[in-house]
Amino acid sequence: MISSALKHLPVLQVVVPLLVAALCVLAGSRFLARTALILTALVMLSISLMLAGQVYPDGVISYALGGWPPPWGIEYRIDMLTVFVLITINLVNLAAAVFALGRNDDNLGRGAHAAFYAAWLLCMAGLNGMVVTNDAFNVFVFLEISSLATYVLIGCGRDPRALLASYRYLVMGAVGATFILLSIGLLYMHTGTLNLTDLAQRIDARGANRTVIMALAFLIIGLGIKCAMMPLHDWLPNAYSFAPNSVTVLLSGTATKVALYVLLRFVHDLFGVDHALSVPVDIVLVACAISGMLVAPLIALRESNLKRMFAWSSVAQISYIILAIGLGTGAGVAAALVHLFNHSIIKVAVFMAVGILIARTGTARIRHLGSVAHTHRFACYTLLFGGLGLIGLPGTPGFVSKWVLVSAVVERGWWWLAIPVLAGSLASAAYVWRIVEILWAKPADIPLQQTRSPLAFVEWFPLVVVMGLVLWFGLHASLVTGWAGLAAAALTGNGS
Amino acid sequence: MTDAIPGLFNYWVAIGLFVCGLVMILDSRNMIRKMVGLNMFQSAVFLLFITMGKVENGHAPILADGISRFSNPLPHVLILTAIVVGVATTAVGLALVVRIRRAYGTVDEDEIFDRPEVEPEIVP
Repeated sequence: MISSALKHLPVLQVVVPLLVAALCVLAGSRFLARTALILTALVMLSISLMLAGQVYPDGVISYALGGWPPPWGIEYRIDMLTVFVLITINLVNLAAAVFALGRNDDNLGRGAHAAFYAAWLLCMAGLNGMVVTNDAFNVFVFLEISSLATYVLIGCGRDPRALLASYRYLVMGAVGATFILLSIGLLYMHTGTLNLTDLAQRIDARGANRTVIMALAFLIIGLGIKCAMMPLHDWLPNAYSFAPNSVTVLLSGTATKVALYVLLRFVHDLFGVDHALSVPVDIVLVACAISGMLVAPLIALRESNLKRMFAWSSVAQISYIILAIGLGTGAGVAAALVHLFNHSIIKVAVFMAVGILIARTGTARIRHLGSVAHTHRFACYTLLFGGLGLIGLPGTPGFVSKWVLVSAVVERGWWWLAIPVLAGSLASAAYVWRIVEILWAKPADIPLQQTRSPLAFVEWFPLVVVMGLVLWFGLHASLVTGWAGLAAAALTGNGS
Repeated sequence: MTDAIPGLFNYWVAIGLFVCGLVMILDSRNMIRKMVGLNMFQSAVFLLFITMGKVENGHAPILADGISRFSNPLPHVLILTAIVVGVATTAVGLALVVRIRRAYGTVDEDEIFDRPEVEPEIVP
């Protein structure tokens, strides 16, 4: 019984949240839905850890859905890269789910809570599905499952502008998803297969023509929208700042990260970044990344809303990952993964601290928050430490990411790329310093009606755990870098 | 060249719908019209998929006497799923538009964004 269940872990990773989401709606009770959310989050994290245990000795697990063998049926394929991303997003999900039990600034009426948690679980089912599947069309379907749930979650924010943010994300997201669908259609026209491994081999064998190049172009634009690559990032700042706090925490650590993973998979596995198709994919990605690294921190510096400021910082940090993907080397992939993990845990801690601060002070306006650090020490100090991580100070995970990234850049022979990376870090130091100055030193410009309510367990506990992870991985980087190296080897080893 | 228009008719229609839909999404300020544009845009891709499954003189893939050429059913099945996804997207989009109309009293983006920005205080 147990051993047969272990064989089906890849599909359980997706099916469990999908089923529980339906049950949540049926149960309709807030208490049951919350319990189900936490338990499911725990189960999902355990499944990904067990998958990691299975993959580590074997190398790769190929799971044929419904018993149909791979090139014809849908295949779920688990390798070191997959479990790396699975563990990251399910860890974030668990922390965010516990945090969601606290005071959540949503606009949900009575009886709507169960539906909210159901949407949450559907979002996670979609994201997990995108990671485990090895079928191009399946990626599209799971992308839409997670996106639709995300639009609903964002629209639950208390501010009516959450609706506008959600609508704008829906329009952009739907265009992006349609671009991805079109790209998959063009690939199918050229090769007659949807299995990603099979696709990669057939593209390699037949070479490129205009159809494949068009598919690549549509794919990069579509995924660029989903992962907020610089010129296509328009939806992210508003979506993050008006969504309920727990949803911001969830999205910052999962949604964009999974889109980046899919970009990594498609670009490296299918096409090969190194001019294999005589198209300069690497130049495009690197150019977008540089613009994001330099422009986004400057906008963050002028931002008046605390949450949106850190949303802009997310755009900047995502650019580092895109830069690493654009390098097209094994070291680049490893650097992308290291930063993917490190940025996830840092941003989750930061957005939790911001959420606690907003719930206590009642405002997200930065200039209203003068000197609150003296009354809200815990939130402000975690915010400060997270900010140091974003800058990349030694001793924080951010430093590890930047170190690995700069080494990868130098190894690729593009040493001059280290200049925008370091300039971006300086700019993030500027906006973190601005926050520190206001939170600690500036007098408040209006008297705030602060509530001194003590921190609830569900608020401080996930934050302390994530902060512990941030501290641990800042000092013990070898686990993440080692695993990222193995994952990069898994990616560059097969396919191209 | 003479074959380019009639032989590839569906593709030309798909390109036309694609561009019209995209222009409508980018250009219109009315949120419902944007959703219409989005639907047109998606239909273009559906048409492309369906067209590529069609084989000249091909029949539905059933075992029957006298049928030896089959159209490819897979793209049709894929598009069945994609249509469902498109309907769901439209539903969520329109639901958001209803909520926006309730909150702002209009569905015109210009009218909404022309208002002065007020930062509502969040009651803790």
